[in-house]
Amino acid sequence: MNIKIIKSKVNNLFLANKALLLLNFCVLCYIAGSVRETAIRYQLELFDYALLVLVDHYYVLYCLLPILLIIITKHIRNSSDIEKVRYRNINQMMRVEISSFTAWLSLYLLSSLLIVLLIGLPTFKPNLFAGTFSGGNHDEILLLLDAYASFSRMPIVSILTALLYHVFGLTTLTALLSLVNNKIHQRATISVAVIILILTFIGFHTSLSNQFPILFFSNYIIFHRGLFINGAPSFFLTVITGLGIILIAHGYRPPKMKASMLKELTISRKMKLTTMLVIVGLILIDYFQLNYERNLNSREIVIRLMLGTNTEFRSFIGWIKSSLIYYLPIFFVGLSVSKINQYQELPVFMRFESYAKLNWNILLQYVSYILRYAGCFLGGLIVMFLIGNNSSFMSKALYESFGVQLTTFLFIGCVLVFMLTMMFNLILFLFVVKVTNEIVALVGIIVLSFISYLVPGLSFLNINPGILTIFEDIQQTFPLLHIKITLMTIFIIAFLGLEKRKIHACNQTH
Amino acid sequence: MNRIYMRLIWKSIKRILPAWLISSVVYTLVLFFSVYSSNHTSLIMYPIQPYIYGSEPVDLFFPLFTTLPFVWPVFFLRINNFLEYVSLRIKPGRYIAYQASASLILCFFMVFLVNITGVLFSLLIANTVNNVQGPSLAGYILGEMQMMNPVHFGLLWSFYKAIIGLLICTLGLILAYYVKNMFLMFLAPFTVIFLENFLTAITGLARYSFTTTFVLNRLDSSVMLPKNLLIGIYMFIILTFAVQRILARYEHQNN
Repeated sequence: MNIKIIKSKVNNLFLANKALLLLNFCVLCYIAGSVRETAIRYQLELFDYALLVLVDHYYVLYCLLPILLIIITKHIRNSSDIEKVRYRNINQMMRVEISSFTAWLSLYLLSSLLIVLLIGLPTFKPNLFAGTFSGGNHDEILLLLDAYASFSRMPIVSILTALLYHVFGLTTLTALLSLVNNKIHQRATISVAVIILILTFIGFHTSLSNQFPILFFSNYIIFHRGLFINGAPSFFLTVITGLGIILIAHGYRPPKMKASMLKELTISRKMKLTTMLVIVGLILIDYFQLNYERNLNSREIVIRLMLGTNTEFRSFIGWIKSSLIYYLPIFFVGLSVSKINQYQELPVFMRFESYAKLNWNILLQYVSYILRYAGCFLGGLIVMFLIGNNSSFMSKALYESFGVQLTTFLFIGCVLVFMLTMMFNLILFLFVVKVTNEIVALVGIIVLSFISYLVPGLSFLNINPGILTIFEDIQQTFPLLHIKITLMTIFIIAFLGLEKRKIHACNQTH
Repeated sequence: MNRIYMRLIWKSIKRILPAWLISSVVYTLVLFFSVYSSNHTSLIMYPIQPYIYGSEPVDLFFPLFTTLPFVWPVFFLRINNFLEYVSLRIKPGRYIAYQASASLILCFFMVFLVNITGVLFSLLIANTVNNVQGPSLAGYILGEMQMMNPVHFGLLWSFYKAIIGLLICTLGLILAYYVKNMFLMFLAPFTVIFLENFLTAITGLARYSFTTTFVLNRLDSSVMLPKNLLIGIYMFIILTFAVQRILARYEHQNN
């Protein structure tokens, strides 16, 4: 049924927007004609010429985008009430709206490609591989063609990729406007469309679109701006954001896992989500800063995030950052401990054989939460580290300061130390909670960490080490790092062993 | 009638007095230790400088000192349903207001007394170095007074800092009234100010940070301007109002 509706909607889109499409056709012919002269001068061949016409950002931004914006707005506002009630729900309606527009746009862009190829065919020779465009260091056109040629030697692949990216960007736009139209208000659709258009122009004419790529729409539709100018990390962020918007408009929601009552009472889903959001926020802050400094390298983000502080390089921001990363999950564990104390008479707690077994199960929840947190966060860091390269400013600075190159092997070693320290912090926190309470425990840990930051001689007390601390420990002749790792491991095993032993002790007959 | 209310406030004060005493002693000792070590590790040109350098690290925990000892009575009045029994004799809102007033009065006195003592201690122990070219305090707010008349400046600064302490304590009291999780209630003001400090520092907006308003001469003198400090204070007041409105609405919905 949906395919029938989509087909009729695609037909309607062609028929209802004849005037606008004719206008676009005229502009495309004009651009194709004017680019023809340039292509002859540069001795380009057919597909290079077609590529040059179709990726012309002035054509895309000043002609294609405004016309398509009007078409999209008309398309999603045209649904009558009678049509709306025929759908199962609003998500299905949005799915049909977006799919029909995407289908229509794909056909339309393919026909544009055919038109350009037909215009170019009498003049240019068809070619399978791209020509050589070197020697044009200051020529914008040659640089553009060279960038596409280095992306793919076959220009037809570049053309199809650029057109596919147009489809992706405009589908994202449709999804966004459809969400606004159906979930907020119909009148807001036009305002949002105008804001998007203005932001796109502002971003295009300033460097803001490079610094905040996800906010400016030019990065979603022009492939070479998204990938070649902004760089791979920004490109992936843009694609992920776009896909996220499309998925939400398609009615996708993260699957709801059925958590046990104990899980929800210890570390709830909301806590896990908040933890993730804070960490993503921290990464994004560094990302935007580096983008602003035009020094974007994903390895730089990783090093900045985990740099920390040491005797030589005392940085308050470094300390706060590493404290946030280490103590954020501890904060939620503290919240959970307080909640369990408050509701300790709940029936769910009485289902356990003994108090020791309940405690053990709660402890397992905390350990699993910390391991997942550390695993996801540090796994993400390793991926980012591998994507980046050694030319980052911080890599060089570390090498100059310590004479040690931060290789992948060494970084994975650091990550394992971070993971162990996170687990140690949890166990230390729970140990202090047993003696005092959760507030004293967290404040005490933060005070201890702050003292080790302030007093250089007490760096061995550092319980939130960054890369700097680990490098400092490595440089010392005294095997401080090994001793620390051994002590932390013994402490963790001893605590877990004792807690497990209590279950056995409780089950003994007296 | 007024005597009854005065007696209620006095009773509330007596309830918090032991916590006040302990926190005042801890705050004073930590500040003295920090001022003393700063005096030995920094170049001191003016007698107030050990206090300036020494109070900075302690001020990271200033939100804890101004909330932990003072907000718990309000929390327990609410959580133990004591207000339901009180409502037979006095309006619960009024009772809470007296309790909060007692907390605020003691918080004010603690911050004022500890800081003026810290300044006096600094003046007493300062090892000033003469004939050395060093940074001047002249560019800071009341810079001349900091250099020439530190006792008067200490009085003014302690009074101002006590007012800032009251603002933080107010946020703590609001949270104590509405939040039911003790851990969150006690640590929320500290966490909020900690995060705000981090976010403003990392975005290069430390001049508008609320933390800058209670850390003496925290940044370069060119950005330590009264209008910047006022922005930080206004933002914190707006945040406090917003938190109160949100929590009140949340509670209203849940009831």
